[in-house]
Amino acid sequence: MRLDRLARATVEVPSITTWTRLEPQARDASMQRSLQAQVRDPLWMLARQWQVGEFFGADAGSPVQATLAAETQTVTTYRPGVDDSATVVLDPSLPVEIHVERETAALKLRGSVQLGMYFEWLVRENGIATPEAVIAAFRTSFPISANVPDPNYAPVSAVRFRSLMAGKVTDGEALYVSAAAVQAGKVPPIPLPAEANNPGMPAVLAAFVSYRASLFSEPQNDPAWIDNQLEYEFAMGSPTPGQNLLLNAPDFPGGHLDWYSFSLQNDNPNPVFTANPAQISPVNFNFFPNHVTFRGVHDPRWWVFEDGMTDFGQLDAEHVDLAKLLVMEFALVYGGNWFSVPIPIPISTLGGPPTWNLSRVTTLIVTDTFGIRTLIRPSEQTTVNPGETAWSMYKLSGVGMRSDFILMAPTLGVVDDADAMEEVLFLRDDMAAMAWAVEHKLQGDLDAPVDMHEAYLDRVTRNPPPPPPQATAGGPQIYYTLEDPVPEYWIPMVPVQTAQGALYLRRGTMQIPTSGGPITVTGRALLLDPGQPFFVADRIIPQAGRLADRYFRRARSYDGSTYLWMARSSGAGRGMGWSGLRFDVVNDMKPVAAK
Amino acid sequence: MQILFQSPDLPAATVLFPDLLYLAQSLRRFFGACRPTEPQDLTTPEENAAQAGGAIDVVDLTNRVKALLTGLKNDIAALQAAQGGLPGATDPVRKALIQCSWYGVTGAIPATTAGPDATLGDQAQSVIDTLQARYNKANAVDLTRAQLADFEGIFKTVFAADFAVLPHVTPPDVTTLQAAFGQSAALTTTDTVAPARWLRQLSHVRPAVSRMDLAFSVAQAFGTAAVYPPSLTLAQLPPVAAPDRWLALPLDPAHPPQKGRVAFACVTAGDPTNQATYAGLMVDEWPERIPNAQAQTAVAFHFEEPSARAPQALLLATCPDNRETWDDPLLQAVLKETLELAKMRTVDLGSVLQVGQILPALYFALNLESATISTRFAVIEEVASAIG
Repeated sequence: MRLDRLARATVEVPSITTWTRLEPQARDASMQRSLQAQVRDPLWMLARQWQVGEFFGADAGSPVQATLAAETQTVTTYRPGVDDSATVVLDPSLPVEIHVERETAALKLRGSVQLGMYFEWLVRENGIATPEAVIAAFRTSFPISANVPDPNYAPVSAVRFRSLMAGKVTDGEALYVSAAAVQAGKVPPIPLPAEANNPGMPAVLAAFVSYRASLFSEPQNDPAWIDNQLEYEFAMGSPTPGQNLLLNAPDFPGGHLDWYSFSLQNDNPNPVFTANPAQISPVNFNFFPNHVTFRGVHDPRWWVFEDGMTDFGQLDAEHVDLAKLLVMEFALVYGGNWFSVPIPIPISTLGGPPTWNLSRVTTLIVTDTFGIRTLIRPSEQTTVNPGETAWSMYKLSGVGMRSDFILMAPTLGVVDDADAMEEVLFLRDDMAAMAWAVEHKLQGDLDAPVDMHEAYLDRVTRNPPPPPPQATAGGPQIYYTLEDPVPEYWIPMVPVQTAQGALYLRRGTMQIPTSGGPITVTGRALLLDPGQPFFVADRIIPQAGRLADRYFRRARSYDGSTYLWMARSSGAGRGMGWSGLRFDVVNDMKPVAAK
Repeated sequence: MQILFQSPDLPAATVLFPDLLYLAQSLRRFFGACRPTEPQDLTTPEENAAQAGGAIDVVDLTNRVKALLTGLKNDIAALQAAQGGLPGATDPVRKALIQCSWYGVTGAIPATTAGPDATLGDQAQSVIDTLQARYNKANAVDLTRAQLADFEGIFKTVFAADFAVLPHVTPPDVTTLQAAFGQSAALTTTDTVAPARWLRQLSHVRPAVSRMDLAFSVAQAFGTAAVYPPSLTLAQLPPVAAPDRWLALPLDPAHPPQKGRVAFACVTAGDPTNQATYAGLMVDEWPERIPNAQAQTAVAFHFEEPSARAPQALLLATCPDNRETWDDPLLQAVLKETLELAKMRTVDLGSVLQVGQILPALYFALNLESATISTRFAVIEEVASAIG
């Protein structure tokens, strides 16, 4: 036994030793723990900061304080149209869009009925003796006619409305014109009846005139609409002793007005300018600069979750997409180096009229953590290569003129626009080598739009074109037509040239043959200035055409006042069109149908 | 029977039959575009009317539907009974047809007024078929679970698609609403003409108001009673302590209006200041906005900011050699070492594939015979898996 033990002790039984290598695996297929963002390792945090360069020193300090000096310069004058002599003092109580756009609210039958009924209500409610007799007298003097003025194009509902109202209500619009004339000491177009002098009636008429005048904002002979441009033109002045700054809106198509509607120019001296110099008010701010933030901008710090709504890295930009590349570069490279300061600009005192101001920054000094003060210059003063100009945005500029002004236009915010009461489509017709003003909608008796195509179809049904000549045995077998008729709501616009060579389109006339005799085609839309020559500059009607309309607009102003005004607007059309107009047409005659 | 549509011999102000039709047409256009008033209409948009106690009188609606269906059923039965008397007894059929015409059945009016009429039988059958189909469809609705839309659907099935049924509505806060209606006259003391002007202006812009204005003006043409301009009863919610002014008027700078207030302009029948329930047609609603007196602008500028940032870890350094006073080289050395360690921290196994046979140099022996010191990771794995 001892020998055995000795042998085992001296002769080792061979055994195998294996080696296990411990491999830490920091990565895992599952993102669960990574997304939990457990922070247990300070070295890892520091390593990431080192990786993105947050430990690199720079010879600069962080901005900690800034001083901004700004000044505002009031806008004091208004000029409708292009005539400098029409310049007037800007009326701050009237929003500029309304001042520019408004035109006379020319109402027809329904407006007359609405106003007439209000007048009769006033007579009944104000204790006038024998009110029905007084009302009857006014109805006789200012009657609603039972005769439809333009029966060819009156929809049935308008005819019925007229038939119902004829003799039952005073023509309010006609009464307003006469009563207002009497109030102004003028001769009324229609004399008021003797009952206008009954006890209490002068007060009723005064209340009536006041009510009607308060319904609509109407112009004082200062139209800004340029007929031959189909756009508004106006200007606002901000004169200072050294400079007559003019905010010119040469092609305002109507609708929303804002800073981009204006271009800047220097105007000639004007007595109204001299009498109404702009007030310049300095403003100073001290503020703590804040980073500019926007969707998609990278956060300057590591370990901050960014907004994933906008991912500039995923933008697919081609080499030619310069604007997109610029935005990307700004957002990804320089986005963290932009700061902003909010500046509240008073538009009006509470309940008061708005003021138009030009604003600019005069001085901006930034102090950093080391106390170094840096003057920030406006982008217009950036040093650029010869032949180039500095680029800026939101600043007012004009032809050959740059400025550091911004304009916070105190325009109307939300405007309630009615459907177009009148709509005219100007389009080119290359087949006929001319243009057309297509009266799609016209104001009807109900002061609502009448679809002229439907009216035309209705007219054709009631008053069709004359039948073509029919062939007879031994007679001619063809007939000649000088021109094919077009629908009567297509108003011809004929090209003309001025002595100076400028091209215009002049509203023309045509005659349409019907079974009831020829119809003369002439513009009836107020947009086409019926009754007087109407020209439109040739360049105003592009190949895409141009659509112009008239419509009511309603808005609240800064002081809470409600305004209702009739406005115009114009915009792009719907392409070219063909009227069907053909000249010198020879047709075969059809034989007389056998009975 | 002959309807004389127009005659030049009549006095100018005579009301003609087409005028009456025009009135009916105007009213139908107006009513057809409205909807019944609901509890939510009688409070502010922010308040949940149902949670605040607003409700529709479902019991009343149920009773009205039951009465409607019973009446319809009886009228169908009466027409069927009268139809049985044909061809002899034609007058009962005519009477029953006229009764059924109130349901808006096209072609229900008999073409003759008396005497034999061979077409009456077919006409009656057609009306019976139409009304029976409507009855069957309306009667299939389970009234115990019906909502307002279901009740409306029954009435529209029986009458026509533009039929309006007005439920009795209990407002969420009836006391406040009554008090608000009581302020109607006080709201416009500075401008009593304002409501009429406001309505007239809206008639040129908002189609719904235009339809209402037209209906009222057409109705006015039929008499001298004061119908036009419609008299408006005003109310505003929520109530304010200060003297209130109608929100449609220019602002009172001394008492600027709060945001989110609701203004009601109602043409009322009865006295809304003492009613517990209301029924009405909702004509139009819209938000009215007044521009802000102050605009917010901003100046943005470029300033090259250093990208250096404070470390996101606190370093607690201990003195490596127990000296009493720290010095700069020692502190720098600690910082340097920390940064070196941080850099090393970025290295993981995937980053050292080239030297993967060597690194990491953590080797552990395993000998089952205990010939050397062994580390058995299997046990650790078992424990780890056991505790999950």
